[in-house]
Amino acid sequence: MQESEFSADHLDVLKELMNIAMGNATASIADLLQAFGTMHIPYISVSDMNGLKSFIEETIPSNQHYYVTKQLFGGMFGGEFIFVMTDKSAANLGNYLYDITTPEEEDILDAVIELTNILSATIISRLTEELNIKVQFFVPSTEVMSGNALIGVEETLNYHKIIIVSTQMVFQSQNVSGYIFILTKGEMIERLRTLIDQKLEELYA
Amino acid sequence: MTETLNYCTVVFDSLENGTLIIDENCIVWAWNKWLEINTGISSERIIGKNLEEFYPEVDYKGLQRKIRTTLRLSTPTFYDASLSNRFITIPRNKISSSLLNTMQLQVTISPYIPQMKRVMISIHDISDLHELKMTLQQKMAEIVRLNTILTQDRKRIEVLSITDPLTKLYNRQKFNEVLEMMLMRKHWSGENSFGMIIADVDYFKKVNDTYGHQVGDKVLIAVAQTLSQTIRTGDILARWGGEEFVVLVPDVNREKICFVAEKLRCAIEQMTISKIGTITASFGTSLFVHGDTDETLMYRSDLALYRAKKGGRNRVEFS
Repeated sequence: MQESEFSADHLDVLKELMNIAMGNATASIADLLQAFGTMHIPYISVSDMNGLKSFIEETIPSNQHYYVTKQLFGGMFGGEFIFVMTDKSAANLGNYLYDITTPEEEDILDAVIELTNILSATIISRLTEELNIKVQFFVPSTEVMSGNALIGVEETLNYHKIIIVSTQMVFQSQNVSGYIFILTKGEMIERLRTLIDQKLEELYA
Repeated sequence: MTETLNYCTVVFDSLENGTLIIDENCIVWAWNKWLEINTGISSERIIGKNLEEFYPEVDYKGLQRKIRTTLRLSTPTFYDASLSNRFITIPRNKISSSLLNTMQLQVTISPYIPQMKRVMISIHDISDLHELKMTLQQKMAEIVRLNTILTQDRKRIEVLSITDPLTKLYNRQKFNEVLEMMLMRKHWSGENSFGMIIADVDYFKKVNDTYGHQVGDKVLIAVAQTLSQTIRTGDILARWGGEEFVVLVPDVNREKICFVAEKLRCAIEQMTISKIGTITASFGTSLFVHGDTDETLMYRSDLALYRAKKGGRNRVEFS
């Protein structure tokens, strides 16, 4: 698919839908985890892997260690949800959710996955609900890695043309923050464009 | 209706993973055959009871939060229950040797009857995967360890191949390598050339004959150390063989190379070696001139050394 086929209008609609989805996510987290946070306005762009690499290099300092949780979702629309937290943030989250001063590695992993579950479910579910479709989530996996290892060789091969949706989530009281990336590619971009077109028709009908 | 219910029960009990239905207070509403087999707890015993009665060690605060999350989001949530208190503990009854005593569980909580606050929990035994991961980690650690040894060995072999075992100076092979590289450089001129110094310990045969080879070796080591401490940064010092040492001296003219050789001669002369006392060495020097080869340069240095020996030893000659 040509980049030009995903027009500025499509990006605007997606940005609007993502804003709604992010709002939904912060509300759910406030409700479920009693943590009140904010999410930055999402950055959305159509790019290739080099573009994503440069974007990650600019956004995420490479000299730190991160808990990176990746979760695939599929159906009429599919992609990968990636949640990135510094190890300090992740430890603060583990401390908050499990009420342990020095959480163990497994506590931290569990807490990170728990937050990712909420984030992916609320953001993606709300986005797909707006697009009148349903998706299925797959088991997430978390790895601890350095910033510059965020995008592996395998992913470089998997993704060619991608849509990057990125935002930062901050829970000031708990000293927890993280970066969210939603990646989709190829045919899924085409489908997303069609779904947005349908949404636009629905809105202006 | 009854037939459908029967089908559901058959399907529920045929599942190749543990499945239970539980409410937000952790009361068990269904417990499938897989769980009966692997936990030893029958559905008759556990249904209608609180899970806590059977598994008091579970972190129920965390579990109930996860159940609430699932019900609130109306989508499945996932977690890895590797930690013992995250979910029920199921013993691993595998005949073949196993690294794990209890099952490693991947838990999926799905909304079942949200209005009754009930969820369905599916547990997948991922112990084989964990075991594979652990084995892989062990193997990886072993590979890293062996690789470190290999790198150290390679470095040691590399050092050994260019070092004289007795004096720890560069050996003849390394010296020739460096000399070849220096000869290939084009920028040498009369005032800014490079030179060669050959040093030979005077009356060394007498030392060996009088005090034995062990003392002789000690002398060679002491000479090597002194030369090494006296040469300039960038000079290349090597043991040529026997009691002969060679130095490649870049960026010098005749005056400078003789000065360097004189400094080395004085340093040797001032050494004191136990049992023997003092020793001396003779020095032959030469300077690279256009058209020189390793052989011609070596020949002139040797010639100068010969003159130094002939002239009474403990002196520097240039050729």
